[in-house]
Order: sequence, then C-alpha cells, then structure tokens
Amino acid sequence: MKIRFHDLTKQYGNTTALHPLNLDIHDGEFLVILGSSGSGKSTTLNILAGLEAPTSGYLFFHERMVNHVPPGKRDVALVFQNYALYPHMRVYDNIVFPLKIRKAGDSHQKVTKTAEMLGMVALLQKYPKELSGGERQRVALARALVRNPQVFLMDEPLSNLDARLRISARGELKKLQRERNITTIYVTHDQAEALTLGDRIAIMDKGRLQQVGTPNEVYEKPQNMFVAGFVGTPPMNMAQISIDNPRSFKIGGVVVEYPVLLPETKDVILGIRPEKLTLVPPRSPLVITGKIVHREYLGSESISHVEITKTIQWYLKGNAAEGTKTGDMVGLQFSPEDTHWFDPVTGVRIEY
Amino acid sequence: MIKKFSFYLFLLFILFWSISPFLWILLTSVKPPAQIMQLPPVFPKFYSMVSYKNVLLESPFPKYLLNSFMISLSTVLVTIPLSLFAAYGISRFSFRGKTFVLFMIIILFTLPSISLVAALYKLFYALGWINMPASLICTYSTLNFPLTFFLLIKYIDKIPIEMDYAALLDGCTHFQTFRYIITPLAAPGIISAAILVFIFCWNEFLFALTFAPDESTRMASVGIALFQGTYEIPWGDIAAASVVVTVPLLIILLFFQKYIVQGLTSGAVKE
Repeated sequence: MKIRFHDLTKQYGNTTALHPLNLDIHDGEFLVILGSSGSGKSTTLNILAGLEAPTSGYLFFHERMVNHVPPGKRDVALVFQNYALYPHMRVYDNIVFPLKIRKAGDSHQKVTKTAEMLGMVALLQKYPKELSGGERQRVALARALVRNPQVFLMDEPLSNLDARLRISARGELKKLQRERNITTIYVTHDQAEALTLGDRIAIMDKGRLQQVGTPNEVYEKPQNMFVAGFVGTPPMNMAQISIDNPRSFKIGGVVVEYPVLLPETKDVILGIRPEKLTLVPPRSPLVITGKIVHREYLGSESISHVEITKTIQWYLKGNAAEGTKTGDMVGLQFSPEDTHWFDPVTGVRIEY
Repeated sequence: MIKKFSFYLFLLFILFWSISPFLWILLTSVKPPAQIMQLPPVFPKFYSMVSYKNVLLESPFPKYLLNSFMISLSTVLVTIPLSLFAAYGISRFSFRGKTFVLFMIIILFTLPSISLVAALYKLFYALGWINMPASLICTYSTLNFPLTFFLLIKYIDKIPIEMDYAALLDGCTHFQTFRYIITPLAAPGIISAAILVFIFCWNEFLFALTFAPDESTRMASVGIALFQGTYEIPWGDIAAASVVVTVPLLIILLFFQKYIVQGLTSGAVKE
C-alpha cells in the first residue's frame, strides 16, 4: 500500500507536535521513523493508525484520503512497545480476536498457520503473564500478522527485549517483512535498528522531518547537523572553524593547514565521522592536534576521547589509538573526501 | 519482649472493642428470654433457640429479608452498568462539559441524604411509588452512583490505553472495546463496587423507613426496628434478627474476599 502525508500537522492545544509533514511511503517498503522522545514519531504513527486525528492536512492510502477512517477500517496492524496483549485471554484468543471481531472465515486455520510460522504453537493455551518478553513479542506479532494487513506499524517493538534477543528478533522481523512484502512503518529511537532494518529512514526532530533516505544516504550525506549528530555511534565530530585563507583554517584558535579547497564562507561547521580519523604523530603538518583524555575499550575496537581545545572534544573510533594512553598528545588526520560541512546558522549541509 | 507484649495487648483490646457488641448480640439471641434482662449479665447455662424460631418462623421477617435482598440486588444491577458506562466515557474520552459533569457528580456525592427525604417523599407520593420497591431502588442507585463511578474511573484509568488502541485496531467499535476488553479487565473493580453498593442498601434505614414502611415492601433493617411487642421490647427477637441479617453479608464477603482484596490492592493489569 502506498501512503502519502500531505502537509499533515498535529497540535495539542498550543503545542505543535507535528509541523507540516510531507512524506511518501512506497508500496512494500520498510520505512523506519527515527527520533528521540518528543520528536513527533509516535504521533505520526498514531495518526497513521487512526488513533489520533491530524489537525490539518491529509493522509492518503493509495489515492484514498483516510483522515476520517476509523482504525479498524484501515486494514492496519500495530505492534505496541509494551505488546498490549489482552491479559484476560489465552494466547490463542489473543491472536484469533481480530478475526473474530471481523467475522473472518476459517479463523482457526489462520491462527494455526501463523503460530506455526512464528514457531509458537506450544504457547497457544497459555496466558500472557506466563510468557517471557520474547514470547510476548511473538504473540503481538502473530496478532498483527494473522489478518494479513495492508500496512504494518511497529512502535519500538524490540525495545523491551534484552540485547541479545533484540538482534535475533531484528533479523527475523526483516526476513518476515521481505517474505510478506507488507508496507511497514517502524518507529524507533535506536539508530542501530534504523540502519539495519530500514529500506529508508525518516529522521524526525521536534515535530519536523529532518531527512528521508536510505541508511547509506543518511549516514554518508546527512542533510543537517541534527542528522549528522543523531545517526552514528559515537556521533559525528563537529566543530566550528573559521577560514582565513583558502589554504588553512582555524579550529579553536589553532591554525591547521588544509590543502584542498574549503567552502567559501568564513565561518563554517566541519564534521568528520570518528572512524574516518586516523592517528598520526602530533604536530605533523595537515593534522589537528589534541590530547587523549579518555578511552573506552569495546573489545574489537575502542573509542578515544581527544581534547582539541577546552571546549572541543572529538571521538576517535577504531584500533588506530592502540599503543597510546590517556594524556598522550596525538595528531588527527583525515582525508578531504570524508569531511562534511554545515552552515553554522541554519545547520544545513553545504555542498560545494 | 515488653514491646511485643504490649503490642499484643493492644491488639487484644482492639479485637475486644470491635467484637464485643456482636458477641453481646449473639449471646442475647441464644439466651432464654428470662435471662436477657438479668443484671449483672450472665452467660447462659443452656441455650435457647426460641428467639430464632420467633423471628424465622412466626414473624414476617423472612419476607423482609427477601425484600432487602431483591432491592439491594436491583440497585446493584442498576448502578453498576450505569456507572461503568459513565466511568468508561469519562476515563477514555474528552468532551465539552466534562468538568461540569464531574463537578455535578461530586455535588451529588456531598449532598446529605436527610436533606433529600422530604423532596423525594413528595416526588414518590406524586408518582404513587410509596411502598413500592422502585422508590428505594431509584434513591439508592442515585446515592451510590458517585461512589461506584469514581471507584470505576480509578480502575479503568489504570488499564493502559494501549489496550483500547489494540482493540480498535483489531476492528472493535468503542462499544466492543468496552465489552470485550475494558469490562473483563475492570472485573475486580466492578465486583468490589457491587459489594459496596449491596452492603449500603442492606444497611440503609432512613429511606427504607420513609418510603416503604408497609409490611409488603419493608426491608430487614426497618423490620428489626419495628419489632415491638405490646408491653415489652422483645430483645431476644431483635438480637436474633440482627444476627440473621448479618449472616448473608458475611457469606458474601467470605465468598468474594479474593476479589475485594484484589480490587483494593492491584490494577490486575499485567504488562
């Protein structure tokens, strides 16, 4: 099902939860809406589900305006963060409930088939409170899948699972969506989930859509400073620099020789991903010099916190910092194609 | 040691304080009539069932008990559905005048019932409802509505809104959500509310005496008060009637104890 938001807004009294939103979701697409709490992502999902009405604007399913279609008539299924299983019903009754309400035929067969597919036949006669977190999540999924909806909505469905289970569940979810080819909108604040699951990611902040794109686009070409800082762990290193002449720039008062063409503005924000920095001896030419103040050892790699000035601290990720220790002075080198530039006032990406 | 001892002494005192009137009544009910007024009071040497025989077999008291039961049950059946609907509406929807409605219900809650007697009597007299159960059922339902209403609001508020959302997305109408999801999940609250209403009606005296003094509709509480002989007050019969009137409540409380405790302690909604 193709979905289109057209200038959709949502206001609660005087607060605006959603600024005019324009977004197209393709048929069969897995779209992840990424944002922190209060970004408007859950509001967007509730409007999609029909649980809340937009203040203005239109929502289209295919070419049909569905602003006033009640949730039960939208053919949309939603998996909730806390699963929202009916505690007074057995698992079987939970799953069969949407079919019973819709008076669908051969409901027993459908439930059995769905339960087999998700490998949870043994759970059917249990009550939700007897299930583990992962099992509950499966039941919630089964209840959503059993009626074969046109649109699948998920509100942080994995956030209540422990870390290891989350990774396997993520894989299953993606596989399931591929097989069924259902248009899926998945809301999360976890950028790792967003990058691994999404065909495209829509990043939201303070009720505004910041960027829509494939995981790769979002990571490689963040459209503004918010996206650059939000996607990636640790976040992108950013610092305001001033450009005095075409061959060098000043970062926190320190002049750095820079051999390639810089943007033609005087003040600009420079951004570099932590994994794109390489370590060289301090005070070499063409490097930024700083002091290692802290190191996080992560096993396969480590994250070093490098203090360039009192106010600018950058991260360095990878194995490059091996052999150094806290307090060492190091040089950070980067290649010109790994740089991102942003306007310091608007925060928008500068391409040049 | 001393602390523990004094604590138990205190408990014993409280126990005595609250149980002794009941014991007195129980004893009075089984004393032979001659010993009832004896001073100082004595423990009877042998027990007599005369008072019970009088009350249960030779007086219209069983009829009063039935009246009490029917009127209390009818009140429960009127109050609970009404307040459940209202509580669901207030808990889940916002609408114009919601605050005003709540305000009016609180006013109803705080109204002293004695102030209503005269007006209601006139009303029921005009309707020809005096000595008809309808007058009591109406009055009790109205008086109990605020209590059950607020109790159920509290209960429904505790049911996560996601339950409603899930049901709506599963294709339920609001009424189906109410019926299949909210009502079962609020069941412990509904049961404890129902018991509170039942006990209120069972105990009620003022309206029962005013609106239904006739033997045909007299309630047990009034029946006890009107137990009077020509020359003396039959204390034994009154005591026996008091015991008889307490027993059904004890049975109800024991039977539903689980729900009442559950209702008072938890939302019964597991994540």
